[in-house]
Amino acid sequence: MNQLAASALSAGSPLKASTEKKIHESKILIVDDEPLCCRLLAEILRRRQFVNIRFAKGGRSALELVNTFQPDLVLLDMQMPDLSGMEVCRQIRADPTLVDLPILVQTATVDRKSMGLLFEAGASDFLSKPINPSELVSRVTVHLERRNLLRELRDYRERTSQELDAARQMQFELLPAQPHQQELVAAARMRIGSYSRSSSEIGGDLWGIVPIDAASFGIFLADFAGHGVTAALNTFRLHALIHEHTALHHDPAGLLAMLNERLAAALSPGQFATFLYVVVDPSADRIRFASAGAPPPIVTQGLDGPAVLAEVSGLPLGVVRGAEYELHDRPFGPDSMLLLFSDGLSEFPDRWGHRIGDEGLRKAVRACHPGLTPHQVIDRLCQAAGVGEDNALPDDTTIVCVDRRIGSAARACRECVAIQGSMPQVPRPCKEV
Amino acid sequence: MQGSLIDQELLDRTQIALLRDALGEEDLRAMLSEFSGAVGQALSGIATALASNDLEEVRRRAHTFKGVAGSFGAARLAAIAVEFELEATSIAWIVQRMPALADAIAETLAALPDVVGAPTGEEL
Repeated sequence: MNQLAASALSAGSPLKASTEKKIHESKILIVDDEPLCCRLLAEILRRRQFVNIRFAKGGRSALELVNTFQPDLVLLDMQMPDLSGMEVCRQIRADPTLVDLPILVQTATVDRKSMGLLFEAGASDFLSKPINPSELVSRVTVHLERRNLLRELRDYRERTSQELDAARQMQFELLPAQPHQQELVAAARMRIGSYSRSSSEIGGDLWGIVPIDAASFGIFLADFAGHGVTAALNTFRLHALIHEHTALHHDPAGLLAMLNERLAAALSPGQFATFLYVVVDPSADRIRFASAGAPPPIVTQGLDGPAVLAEVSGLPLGVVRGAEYELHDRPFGPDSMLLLFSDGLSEFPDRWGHRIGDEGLRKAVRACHPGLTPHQVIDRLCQAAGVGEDNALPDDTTIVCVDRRIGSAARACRECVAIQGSMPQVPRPCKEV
Repeated sequence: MQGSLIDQELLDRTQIALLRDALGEEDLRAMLSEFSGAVGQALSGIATALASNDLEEVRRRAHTFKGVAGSFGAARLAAIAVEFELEATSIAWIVQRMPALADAIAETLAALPDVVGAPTGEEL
């Protein structure tokens, strides 16, 4: 075996064990109008364990066999009585399913122009004539290996894509879309809007609502470090923990401490999550919350009141066991608005590379007219940060807007859940994943 | 061109050695036993095309013949086939060259069996 084939099938190559058998079972079509030339090529290949070989005596029969025999590689003579090898190449390449079928052209032609035309017509490679057996075996082997690798890669990508689609759907179902979750907000006479986009197929952000009593509810936003599959799997883990410990839903600091203990024990080094949990209690006109390294929520008070960054601190979940979290308490009366966001929003680099930051978001919230619906507020914040539908996001991004300014809203956003008898109720949250 | 063919080796021993290495001596002999039949068919095809006064068909047949002759190491036959394919200007020109082709075929078929088992004197 010459150097080319030897390197491709060296003992250390991971290809060797997995692909050698497949390569030798590959279907090879030899096209030549001289039967003895066909036989010579076939005998050389059979001696090297290539067993699945068919012949075509002309261009037309070659095209028929490409469809019926479905070869993995074609050895093609250039001059044939009915159809030239060049034309056979063109017709094969015209079929989108055959664009990567290896076509090795046998030719004694050496001038550069003719070789260029051959490759333009779709030839993958050429075999010089008279046939050199080692060259024949090496080129056939290399092209079959390449084809097998491409096929395996395509299969792998297709399977992975299907699995990611399923995972994305499952993750979407974690988000609060169920009617009873919307009812929680309805009972509190509020509106809610949300925006959630992953930077890749699946992400590491998660938000949700949990019931506490007839009027109050808890709302959380988590952001696992990194993004992609690992972060996404951790969101499932977190979701299960939150919903398992209902007794802690009224106790932000206690909930975070529990989650930290569980995640610190379960997560691998380097994995952690920022987490914000807010209990919204409209009967007391207050919110109580605790944060594990999350961006500060923005709270507005009154229609013309200030927008405030509710600065809080705390170690992210899963970093170290035994962490304690401070409980914070703020007024949240009628005409208030609460905005939760992941740092995918505040740290999004706009077209000039600028990031709006927490303070920039606060100003953007302050600039929002009180008549805007939660969905419209979210749109304004995305605009202010430079986040557009066509932008690729470098990080998963989630925004949740809880609005008590029902009476001030000039009109309801049809895409937000409106909770007011006088307003049109459309049971569809503005949720995007 | 005729002068150059006198200098052309009858057989390409390197090519034959490559085939022997790839196929083994026994299988190579079996393939070569069919070579004489292929040569006969090629000659017959060229003769028929000549009788039909079809120069293009002669050239096409010569091309096929060149391929099979070259692949089996029949160097002089391949060289004559190249002449027919690329240099022939007329049917008469080819008719004039046919005796040389017949002689080369006879010499080649006579020499091949002895060459198959003989050392090449050239290690690849």
